[in-house]
Amino acid sequence: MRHAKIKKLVSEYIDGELKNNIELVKEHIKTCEECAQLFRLHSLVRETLKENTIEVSPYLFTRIQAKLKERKSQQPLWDYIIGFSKELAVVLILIFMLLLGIELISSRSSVKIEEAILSESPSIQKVISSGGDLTKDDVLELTLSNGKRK
Amino acid sequence: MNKQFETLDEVEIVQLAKDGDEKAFEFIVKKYQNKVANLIFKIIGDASIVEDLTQEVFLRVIESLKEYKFGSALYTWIYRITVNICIDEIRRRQRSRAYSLSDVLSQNPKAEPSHSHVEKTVEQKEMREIIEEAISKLPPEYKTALILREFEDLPYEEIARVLKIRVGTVKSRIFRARKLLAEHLKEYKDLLK
Repeated sequence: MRHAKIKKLVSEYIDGELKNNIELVKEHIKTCEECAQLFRLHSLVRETLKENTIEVSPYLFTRIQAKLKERKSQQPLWDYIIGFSKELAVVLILIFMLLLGIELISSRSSVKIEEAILSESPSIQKVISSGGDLTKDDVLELTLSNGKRK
Repeated sequence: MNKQFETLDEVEIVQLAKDGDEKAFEFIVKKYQNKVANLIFKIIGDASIVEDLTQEVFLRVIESLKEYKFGSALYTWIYRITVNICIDEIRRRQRSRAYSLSDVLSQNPKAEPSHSHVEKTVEQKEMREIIEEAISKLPPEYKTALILREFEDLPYEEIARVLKIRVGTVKSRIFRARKLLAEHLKEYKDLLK
């Protein structure tokens, strides 16, 4: 295997993640200065990172608590709405369906009323069917029929 | 730390915290606060903001605890939040030009490492400083993967879960980070001997 390919495996070998070709990489590191440097670099980086650590203040949790209270008190109305977004969506869908139902029922009943009016008044049917273009005889007939109905 | 939680399983403690138990949340904070703080310190490299960012991490943890589904280990989830906050901070600094132009350029993965014609010796600078400086110059995505491996000792699979990337990407990021570090450190001829 060529150096460039083995070099990529060296990093995995260093991390103990290499599953195959372990012996090959081990042997390569012994003879290749560049790959041996990667190995030494890993130790140096590891030591350096582990050496310089910090500790947080013992009051961190108290600060977090205070910040949480502050955020809650400043929480705008919109956050509450977002917090209940699922419930709000269900309520809105129910309201929409209810309004849609009311609309459908009322439109059906108005059609029925119209149909009833039309069937009960032949004069209106006549006007509609003639497209408003009535002869003198038609007007006379309608006037007489209305007079009879009254 | 609160002793009543030491006998409990972490899943139970998280469930209690999810249900609003403040003591359970306190236990989680105290268990992970130093790990989170150090991860931030290593990624950002600025001790002055570590405490504030650690606080921000745990505020985000408590605020999104309802969304935690126990699918991954708690520390993986907390580390993911930590890394996201660090990346936000790095971007914020880049935007506000708190970083110098050379720092920003060095964070570009395509940027070539600098080569000095004058070879320096390790005695000129303290070794730790040299390594820390070289790490700070790595692109954030390479640096984060390397720190999770070298400092946190996380296996590639866990790093992949924290960073939400494939294991193959973790491998290549760590390899490239080491390659770039070696390039940066070439000028210190004694360092890697």
